[in-house]
Amino acid sequence: MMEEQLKKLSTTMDQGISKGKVFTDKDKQQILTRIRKLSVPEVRSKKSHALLPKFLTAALFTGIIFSTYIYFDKEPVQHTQPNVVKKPEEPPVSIPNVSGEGSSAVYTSNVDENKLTISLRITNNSDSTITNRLKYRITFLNSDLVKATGTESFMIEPPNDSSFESGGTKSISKEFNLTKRVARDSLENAIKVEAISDNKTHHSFVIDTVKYEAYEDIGIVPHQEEVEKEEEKKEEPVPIAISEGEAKQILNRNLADIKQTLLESQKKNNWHSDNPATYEVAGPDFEPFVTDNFSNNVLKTFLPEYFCECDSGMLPRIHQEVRFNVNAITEDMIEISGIEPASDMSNIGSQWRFKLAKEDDVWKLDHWEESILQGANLRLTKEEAGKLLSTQTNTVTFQKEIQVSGAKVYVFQVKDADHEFMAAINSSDTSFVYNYE
Amino acid sequence: MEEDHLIAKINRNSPSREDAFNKLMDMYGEEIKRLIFSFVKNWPQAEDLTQDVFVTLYTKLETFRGESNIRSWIYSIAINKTKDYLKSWHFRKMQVTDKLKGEPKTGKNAVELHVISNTEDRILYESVLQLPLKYREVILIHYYKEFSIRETSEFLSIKEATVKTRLSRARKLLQEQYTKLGGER
Repeated sequence: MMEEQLKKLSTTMDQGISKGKVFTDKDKQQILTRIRKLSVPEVRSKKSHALLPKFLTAALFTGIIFSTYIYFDKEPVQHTQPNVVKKPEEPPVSIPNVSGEGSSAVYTSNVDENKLTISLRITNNSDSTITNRLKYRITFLNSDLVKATGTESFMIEPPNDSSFESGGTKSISKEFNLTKRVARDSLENAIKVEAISDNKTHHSFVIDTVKYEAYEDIGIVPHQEEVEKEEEKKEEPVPIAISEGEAKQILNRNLADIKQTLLESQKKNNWHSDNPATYEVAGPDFEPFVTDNFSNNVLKTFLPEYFCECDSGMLPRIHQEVRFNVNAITEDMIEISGIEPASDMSNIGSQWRFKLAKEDDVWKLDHWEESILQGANLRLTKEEAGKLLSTQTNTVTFQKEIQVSGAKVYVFQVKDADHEFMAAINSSDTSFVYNYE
Repeated sequence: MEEDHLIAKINRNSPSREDAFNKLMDMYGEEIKRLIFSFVKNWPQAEDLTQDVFVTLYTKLETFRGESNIRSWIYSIAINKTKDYLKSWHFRKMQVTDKLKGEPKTGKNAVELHVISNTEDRILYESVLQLPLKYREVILIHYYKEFSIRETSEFLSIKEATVKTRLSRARKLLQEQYTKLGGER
């Protein structure tokens, strides 16, 4: 109910504030008056310039040219009119107005090499030729891509041919040899471009057209010997002490312990919104479950905020079946990621990443990181979306797939003992979609 | 695109500089003043703060680097100015004075409320304005002005996860307030 009403809050608020215009000509005039007042010293200095030749002309007529010239040139200027001395005029500032529409990137991967070719297509939208030398900074926004390219950003400095005419387009290309393969997802919205001159960024954009050509995707089957060669290249697997399933259990148990400790701490210390927890008092109770790193970097800020009667949104609630992945396991470290799907209470899902470290034979939480799924593209399948809606007591039946505002949305019928309703899930970010045909 | 031209004109000190700035005021004055009112709930202050926002905008335009769009930039100035004001001694003094005078909480709002014909909408509007600032600001920026969680977190200089938590709490409070004022559950 509230979610639906909030969606049209813009109209509700605007009507509530006022049906008529609130920003009037009077407001504009007052702003302009204040701005003009700011510019007064500049106006005075111009008047002084205008007066000087008049004084000089008067002096000529009175026949005291030489002595008066010195008087006007030195005394008044230095003591009463410091702004009279004319500064050399600065050339007008020309701001390059460029855009990067049509820029793209191609990722190619085969057995021998992985390449990323970025093709910039820069258009001059200014009214005149751009004379400033333009440089382009490429920034990689994905950590895998940073690792594969070996750099976070790279400056492209094309030669200055000073002929970037108004309306003209320039094509600039840069090829990166990657040290390892990257997944398709790592390239999405991951290449930022800035057009820079005189140390100022004039335009920035993210390349959204990336062609992905990995050999298995384009149907090229490598020869058996090439596969073997690649297999040989792979690092020796690290002996795994625990299975993926066990790793997930360790995380779940750890999170449950932390939750239990929070509840006990609240009971013991009467924490609530007007009596927020302090790290000094509550922190030591968590020592059996978290590392010093987690204590210092997460708990210190988390504890004072937790007992705000909004705890439902603060502890991770990881879906156990969809996108719950163990990313790395060694003898003393586990890295896991998972999603907390959108819910009725908070129609915004999250992605969580966890790191556990083994200390004295005990697995402890070393770090967690939450990022909002808004703007992400999970590309959920309809089976995954169905699992997100399923509970032990309901039946979920897929109905149809639709497009809403450019996103793929799955519509399901959900039945439980008392209710039957339709639910639609956005495949990009798990959010519920309400306005659909 | 049009905005880029306007900014370039203003920065070039061209004769049409004032016209260009006028146009920026036409484009954003209305929405900025409404946003500020929804924060401070007081028209004279909303007027003063809106003026401050545009004067600051004019003086700082040369530093605009184009990394965000101009709308986001203006909003960021407006939100900072408004929050500074709400933290200021002047505002706190006014609050105390109002309480001592025993003035109705809503003041002009009470008159303005008549413009909403739909009762449910009126209750929602009133409920939003009664939220504590910490929760009202996330509702206003995210739902009223329709900025993303990321943008909201940037405007308020808080983590995205904190925005999400505050939104969750704000919706809960809003629902409670809405029901208390007679809205349907």
